[in-house]
Amino acid sequence: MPIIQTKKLYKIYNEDTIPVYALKDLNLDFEVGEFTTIVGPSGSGKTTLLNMIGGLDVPTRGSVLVDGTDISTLKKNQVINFRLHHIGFVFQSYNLIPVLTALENVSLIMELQNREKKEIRERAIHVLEEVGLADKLNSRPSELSGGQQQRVAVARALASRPKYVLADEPTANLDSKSAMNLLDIMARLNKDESMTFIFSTHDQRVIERARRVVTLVDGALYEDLKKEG
Amino acid sequence: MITAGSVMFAVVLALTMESMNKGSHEQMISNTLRFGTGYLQIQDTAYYETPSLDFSFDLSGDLLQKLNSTLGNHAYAIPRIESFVLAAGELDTRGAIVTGIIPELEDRMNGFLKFVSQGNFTSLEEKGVFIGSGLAKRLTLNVKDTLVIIGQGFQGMQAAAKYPVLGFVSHPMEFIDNQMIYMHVKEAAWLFSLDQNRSHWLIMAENDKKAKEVKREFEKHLVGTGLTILHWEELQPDLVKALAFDSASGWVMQIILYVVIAFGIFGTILTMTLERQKEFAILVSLGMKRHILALQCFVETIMISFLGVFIGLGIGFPILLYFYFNPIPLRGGLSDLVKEYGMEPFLPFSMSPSIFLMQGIIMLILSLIITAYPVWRSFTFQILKNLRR
Repeated sequence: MPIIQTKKLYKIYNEDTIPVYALKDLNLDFEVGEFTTIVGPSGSGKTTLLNMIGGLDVPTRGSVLVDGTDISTLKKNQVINFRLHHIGFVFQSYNLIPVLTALENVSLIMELQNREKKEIRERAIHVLEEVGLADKLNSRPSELSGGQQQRVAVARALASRPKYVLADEPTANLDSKSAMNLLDIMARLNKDESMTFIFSTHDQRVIERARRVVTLVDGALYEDLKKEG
Repeated sequence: MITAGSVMFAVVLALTMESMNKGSHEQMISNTLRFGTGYLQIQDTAYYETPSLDFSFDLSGDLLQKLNSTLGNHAYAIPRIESFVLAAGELDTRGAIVTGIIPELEDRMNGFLKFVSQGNFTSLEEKGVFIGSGLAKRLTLNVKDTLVIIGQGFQGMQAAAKYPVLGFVSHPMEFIDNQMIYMHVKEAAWLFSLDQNRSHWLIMAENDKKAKEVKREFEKHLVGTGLTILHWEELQPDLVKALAFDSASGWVMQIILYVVIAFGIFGTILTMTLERQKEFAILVSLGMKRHILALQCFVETIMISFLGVFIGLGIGFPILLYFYFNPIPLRGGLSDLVKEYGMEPFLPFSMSPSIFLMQGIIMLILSLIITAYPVWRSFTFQILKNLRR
């Protein structure tokens, strides 16, 4: 049973003048616990697709169904609520709040969810320990390396135990060792907590670890490869 | 910090301007009250139109008792005799104004002693006069010289006498310095053949509110007496108009200042908001609702404004206090101009609590209006566009 479905999904810019198709007639299903990469050349629509699934962007035509609900029909606050409770985002450029410490950044989503302070702190510390940043709890992003910042971003995305983690080129700015560490962490969480991971990436290392590889070209589905085992 | 600093400077600037404006008004009113009309005057009903000694009156007995009981501890009454005379020294004659006073009451009313440049003011109990130093210069008179006075007394009686000059009064207000002859009110009554009559009575009160209460209370007792009690605003309608005009022009200047200040604060808020667009986009993309973000912006801006306002008030207070006790002296032509209007040549500052209250409130209202921008922005910014910044 697919939990995320895209149906005849189109994203068209400048539709009235010179249309540019960012996504074209995309029909995809994602199952619970998938570890999927979306690949393709620059401008193929990978990030746009993730933004559509995460409710950050709205389709020109077609629909995105999450747990059977078309998220483009939801009101703005419902979409934000949906993101808050179901989705963890990992952005290519980390997107940490510069004035907050690693611990505060990771706690942020749980605070928005109005969880207990004690629970927030314990969970945030636990996840930061998981990503190997136990000694950086009180460091601000400017005091961390790129790899460490990306690990904080991953910890933030995972801390609230979302159903889906959408990661936009999470290893793009990382060295080889940091990238492998990050993939190990995400693979473990995928296995242990059954979180669904959808990555957009150019990185061969990520593609090799994925169990499904969706290839987009010019916004359209080119190949959907599911690996055995 | 930049926004709070901007609000702080705005508050200090607005405070200073309003304090100067109000200070000059207070000085004008104070001079008028202390050296002219008092808060209230009891007069014959005809005296205001025709200030002649023929309309002098005897305020004694039952009416004086009623007056004293109305005044209580919050006000006091000062009998006065004032009349125009010709004053002569050995060589020259000049027009002058004889003012019959009671020295200790005069000093209580306007701190007169500090303007006495020569002579012992308490000696005014004796037969003799104190004269303005300007008048003394014009008549080439020194202390112990003789001043001759010729005028018209009560109901056509001749008022002529010779008086030794006991001392000089040097006052920055030119009409006092150049025209005034002070003698004891009893001596003035003898000179003008007034017996127990006085040309008018001044009433000084703790403040204008008390004065108005006294007027309201005492005018009941004046019905049918041929006397009236007038408030200083009735006695000085031209001053009231001048103050109203000055206030209006002051307000125009204040509004211009507020517009400049508002744009200054808006500039910093605008920069702060635009610089934080990416942060806002991250927060909303992670799940913060826009109205929560708007509320956060509102609270932040208001807190920054409060901080700026309170620091501004804190810095402004000692600055104004310093200038309140050390008013800026005016020099040159401006000094002469101010003196012509009967004011001391200083740029006075006011420490009225209403200035601090009003400027604080106005700045907070301005900040509140400006807060609309980050709030509006919180509801309308595009997430994806700002995430890519």
